[in-house]
Amino acid sequence: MKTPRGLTLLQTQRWAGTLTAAFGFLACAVSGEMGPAMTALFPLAVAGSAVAGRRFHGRMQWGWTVLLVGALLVLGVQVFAGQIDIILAAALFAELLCIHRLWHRRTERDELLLLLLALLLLCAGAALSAEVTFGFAFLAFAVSGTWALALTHLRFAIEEGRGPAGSAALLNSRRVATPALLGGLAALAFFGIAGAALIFLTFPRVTIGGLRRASRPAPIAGLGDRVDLSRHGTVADDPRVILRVRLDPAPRGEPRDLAMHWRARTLSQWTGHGWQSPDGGLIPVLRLPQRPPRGRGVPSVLSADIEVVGQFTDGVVFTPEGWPLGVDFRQPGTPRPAARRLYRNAAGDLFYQPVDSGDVRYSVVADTDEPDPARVRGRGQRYPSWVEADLAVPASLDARVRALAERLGAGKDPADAAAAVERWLATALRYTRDLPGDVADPIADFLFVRRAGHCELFSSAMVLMLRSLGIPARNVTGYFGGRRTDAGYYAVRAGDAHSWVEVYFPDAGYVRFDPTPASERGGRQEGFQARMVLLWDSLQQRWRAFVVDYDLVSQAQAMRRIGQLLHETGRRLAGKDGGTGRLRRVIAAAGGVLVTASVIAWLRRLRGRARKGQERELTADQRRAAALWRVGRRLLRSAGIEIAVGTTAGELARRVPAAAGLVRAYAAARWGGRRLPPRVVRATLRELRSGLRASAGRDI
Amino acid sequence: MTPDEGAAPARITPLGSPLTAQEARRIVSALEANIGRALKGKQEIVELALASLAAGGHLLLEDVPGVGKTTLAQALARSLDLSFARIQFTSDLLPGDITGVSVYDQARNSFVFKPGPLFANLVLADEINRTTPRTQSCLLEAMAEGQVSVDGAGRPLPAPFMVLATQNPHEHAGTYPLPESQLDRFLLRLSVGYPPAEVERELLLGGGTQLELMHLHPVASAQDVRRLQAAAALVTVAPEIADYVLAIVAATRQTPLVSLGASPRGAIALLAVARARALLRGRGYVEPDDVKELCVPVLAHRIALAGRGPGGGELERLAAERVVRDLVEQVPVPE
Repeated sequence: MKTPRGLTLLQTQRWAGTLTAAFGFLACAVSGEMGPAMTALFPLAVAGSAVAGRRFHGRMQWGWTVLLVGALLVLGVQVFAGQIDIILAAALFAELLCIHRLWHRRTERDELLLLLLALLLLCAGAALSAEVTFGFAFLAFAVSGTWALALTHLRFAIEEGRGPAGSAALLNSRRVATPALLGGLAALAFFGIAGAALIFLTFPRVTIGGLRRASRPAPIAGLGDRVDLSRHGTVADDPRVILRVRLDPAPRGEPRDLAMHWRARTLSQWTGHGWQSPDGGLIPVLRLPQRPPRGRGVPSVLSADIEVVGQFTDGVVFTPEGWPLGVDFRQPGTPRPAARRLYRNAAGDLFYQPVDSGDVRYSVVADTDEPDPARVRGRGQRYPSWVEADLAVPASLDARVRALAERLGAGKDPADAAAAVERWLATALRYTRDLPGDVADPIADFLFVRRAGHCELFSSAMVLMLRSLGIPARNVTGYFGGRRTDAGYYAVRAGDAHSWVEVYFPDAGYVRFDPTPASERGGRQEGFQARMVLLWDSLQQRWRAFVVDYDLVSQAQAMRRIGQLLHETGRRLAGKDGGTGRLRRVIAAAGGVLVTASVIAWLRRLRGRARKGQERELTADQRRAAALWRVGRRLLRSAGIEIAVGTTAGELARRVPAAAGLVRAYAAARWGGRRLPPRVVRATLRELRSGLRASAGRDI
Repeated sequence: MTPDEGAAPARITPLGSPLTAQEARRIVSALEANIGRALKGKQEIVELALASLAAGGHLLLEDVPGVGKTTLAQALARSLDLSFARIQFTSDLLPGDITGVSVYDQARNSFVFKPGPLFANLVLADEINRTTPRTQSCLLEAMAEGQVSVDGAGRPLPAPFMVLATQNPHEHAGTYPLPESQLDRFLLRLSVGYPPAEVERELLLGGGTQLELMHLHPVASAQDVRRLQAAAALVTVAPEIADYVLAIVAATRQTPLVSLGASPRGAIALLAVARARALLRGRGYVEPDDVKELCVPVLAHRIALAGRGPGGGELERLAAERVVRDLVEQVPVPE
């Protein structure tokens, strides 16, 4: 019997109910749709009910009724006016009812109603958000709900069976709702969830997503259609995931960081301080322009399955390196026609419409065989008229820029000139994330004053230098890189934004040059926050793949994969597959380890049980009592009193009256389980010492 | 026993809620005072008799005639509002004389059972060793199981049921010593002993015990006794106390002085009386003292000393008590 610690049965039951309601509310709140006021209201109400709930029970019922009816009216009007949808209104009203019940909990009916309202909140939460955060709230709800149901029934069964007076001791006992009981119930809840998950995975799926709603539009500008080079501050790392990319074929060696330019759009008009996209509208694309005939080169095709995160969609279609051959907006595995159509502008950038705030997923097939500068050499400088915009040199261009360009590229073939400028920029200048600030000519400042800058300055300088040599070039923005995640896709983060150069060569089209030093392209995001963001993103993707978007097709695929795995394993175990001795050895070793471990665990348990039989567990009070008795006997022995092994405490007390107090305190605590605070131990020993001194004095 | 924190864990209440330690103490003090008016100067014996009652066991009083054995039994019966019967055991007593017999009822044309004197709450079996083993053995079932079998039918005895048997250790002629199985069924064996001199003087000068007995009034009901017995069974026993009991019993089995040690029934009896005595003293838990002080009355009649027969004679008794007392002193008290 241990000293009781922790909460009483009654307290645990009340807290389990409150916790269940809180998790139900959390399942709704994580959707972020309840609004700050209603979100803040619930924690305040819980705190208030914990402090003053009992005092309010049964009082001001009319006040609550008026409040709730008023809220119902307001919500009804809002629903009819189309301000909020009915599911959200229901969630808000359920929250208010839940708060009301939290403040009025006495009977079994109150408690069960509270749990029912919490369940309603959870259901509303499922409709409001299908994110992984809801999954966590659901798990917590399942555990605390099991506690609450079990303890509520226990409590009221006790009250009913024993009456209010008879049940008080049991309800206030700290030995009922022990961690062992709560742990067992939690394990039960987890078993239940595991069983439900198994059914979810194996039972044929009929429908999903019917209740799923698009999340609230919160557009954040992705890549704008203009760039201003003379800004202040530094380029900040932004770990938010923008693109999720799966490549087919997978990049060789599956590197941790992908070296890939994700092209977004062209910015070719110089504004004096930066760039803007060329004028002109969008035209629908039926077929993408054909690639100019190549000389030699092995055709190689890459398919990129790109998913743009909803917040960052602005209608641009990202393309991987290479010449895009086709864009497909159809969802993989669904026969539904695509909801979006492809467009392009005069510069050949690809767009889609309509644009909404949901995630956009499409696959781009590209010919990755890119002409290198050597292969576009000697194509002359007879440019078609539609590239003239890419030859425009601003009148205000610093003479030193032109002079530098001529020093590097005058008289050379355009391909060599471009390569020379690219090489010079990458080696002679330094990369920095510090922005130049408000300068008159950012290019001249970058090239001749600071001699350091970020990617946009590198690419802008190269474009202007090539244009001053009469070579058509343009500035291109997009992202560079991609970090591998453990969910099987590459994540391109907002901090990976990049800018580079495309140079036009007759009969070859635009060829990509990147003057930014290779080690500085894209973001280098290794911080804790960046890792956590990636981890969270991959977790969300798994949740979506295995729960939200888990339909009959994925179920069949998963079953087939499991079947294949079993078949394969069986075949290997049967030894029908040559060279599988390793697998057998691994399984045998694992089995051996398992058996050894269980034998060790069993032996330890046996030993533990034997030891437990020898030295019984004592409470703190009993240990103190035993210690008091030992010290007391030592004192008595040193006072010359003989104590045999068979002498009991009572006999000693009769023989030595000074020890009566010691014996009383010891026996009551040691055998009767009474309290023995250290204070009493000290007082008893003091009394014994003075008693012994007094009797010694009498003897003399 | 109070259900406060730190005490025993909450228990399921049996039928007829047990007395609390305070209630038990109150009833027991009233009983002790009441019985003490008739049997003066024998508080210890009275307490042990009440402990035996609370533990639901039977009592063997072994002493010379005229020291108050019968007075104790009668005082107990009168104080408790229980039915009382006295059976004088003689060599010609037959089992039917004490259990009752079936007689033919002409009016009903069937046999009707006429209960014997055993059908009482408190039975005084006087001079129990004077009757034949045949009659003695019919007490076995009654004492162990609380029922008698007559004509093949078991008939329950009233509850509570307690046998107070007496025997005179000084007479051997015409007696049949109790068999071990019978002795083992007595929870306690007590020797009343002579009263202190001043009490004896008072007896001579006063009106005598018979008058006092006539004036005794019941202070507890049969229901109180049942609740007392239920409460005694619930007294907390720490595992170390049980180990102590086992160690003492084991000591009686291991010593060469004893040819037959105490039985497991003896160990159970020791703990049961210790519980009852703890309750009588207003405690909800057993201390080592309870066990140690009860070893002699509980165990002495259950052992057979090496080289001697069981249970016979005053000297045997004294020797057995001495052996038990010495053995207990050797057993370490749990701390």
